[in-house]
Amino acid sequence: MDDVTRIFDEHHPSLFRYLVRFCGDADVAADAAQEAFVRLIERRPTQGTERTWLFKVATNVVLEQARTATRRARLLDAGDPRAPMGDAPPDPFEQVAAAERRTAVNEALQLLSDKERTALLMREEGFAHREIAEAVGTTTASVGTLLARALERLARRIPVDPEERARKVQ
Amino acid sequence: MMPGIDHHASDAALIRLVDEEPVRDEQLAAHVATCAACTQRMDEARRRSHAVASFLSAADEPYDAARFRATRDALRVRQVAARRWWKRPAWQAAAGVALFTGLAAASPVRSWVARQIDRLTTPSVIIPDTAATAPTVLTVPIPPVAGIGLPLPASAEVAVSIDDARGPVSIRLRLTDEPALSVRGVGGAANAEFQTRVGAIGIRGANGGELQIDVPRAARSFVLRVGGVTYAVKEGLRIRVLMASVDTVGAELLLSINP
Repeated sequence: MDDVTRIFDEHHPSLFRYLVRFCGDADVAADAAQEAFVRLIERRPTQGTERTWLFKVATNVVLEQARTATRRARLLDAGDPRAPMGDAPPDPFEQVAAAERRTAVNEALQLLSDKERTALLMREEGFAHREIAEAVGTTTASVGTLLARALERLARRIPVDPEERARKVQ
Repeated sequence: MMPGIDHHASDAALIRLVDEEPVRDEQLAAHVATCAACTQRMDEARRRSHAVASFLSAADEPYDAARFRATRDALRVRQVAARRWWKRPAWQAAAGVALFTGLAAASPVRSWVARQIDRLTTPSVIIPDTAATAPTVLTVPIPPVAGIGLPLPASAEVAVSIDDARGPVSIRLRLTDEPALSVRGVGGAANAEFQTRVGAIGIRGANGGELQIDVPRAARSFVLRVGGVTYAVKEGLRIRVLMASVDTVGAELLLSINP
């Protein structure tokens, strides 16, 4: 198996999921992931892991794109959420529920700064604080602060489960 | 509180402990293990972490590997091409000549070396001449070639922009069944700077020669811009040329720009 094929199979699913969450747009995520792999072929990283490098480059691609006004408007538009991956579920009720979940997640994530969002979502993909620090361009010690703040902000937006609420009241 | 520690752990320190990061402050870790308040906050941080993970994953759809198969294949083709360019005989010859020239620069036999380089860099094609006893030798210089490819993005919208051309450049446009947009510079155009962005290839500083552009039929749209001016667009399965001075060679279109 070729290098790029192996790396693609190993990292693309995780990178794509991360990017969809990061920008809320499956097309933008697919393009950014592809661009990161193209750059990997052209300029293989000499330091750090390929995985961290791919996430860092893809994040920068999304942020570069988001800097244009039209793209920014598209990224932040939560009114018409698009299916991030795969085909839409056939059940219309489930389709509506899935769209609502995506809208809620997109809205909550957009409240975070770019660095907080990157740190939080890379943590969800299993990166160590050292690797997150490398991608975000900060110190390992600061990653804990970024994560604590991001988790706290995001937790406030999570709808409380009625059963959980009842347990707390008891 | 433990002796020697006069404060509780910060939220950032608790996250590091939740994530099982290497402990940097043994005293603080020992404090958290025995302090009821810190243990409670750490449990809360752990619960919050799980809640956020569930919240995020609830909105995910399953990964659709079939959707990205074409991208994966195009990347493999591109990697093979990227590996091969330096193995091509023309590049090897050029590298050899460059090395030879460098070594010979200080040599007393410079003129002899120069003659050999001339001979090497203008490879000959021998065409048999039935009318003469000696063969006629035609010298055919091999033009330099360079290029770049770009797999179709998810939007299937691609573009090529040519800027800062330094001499008359021919542009050869062709529709192909390949899954990638590709541009090849021949002659003076091989020295141009080739760059890729999402869905676009940029060529800067072509100095004469020819640019061969292969446009995938599968592209939803294609635009060729020269110095910011639109020269050609893809409409359905055709390429419409918006500028004059066009020749058609079979299934290819030949444009010329003259800055």
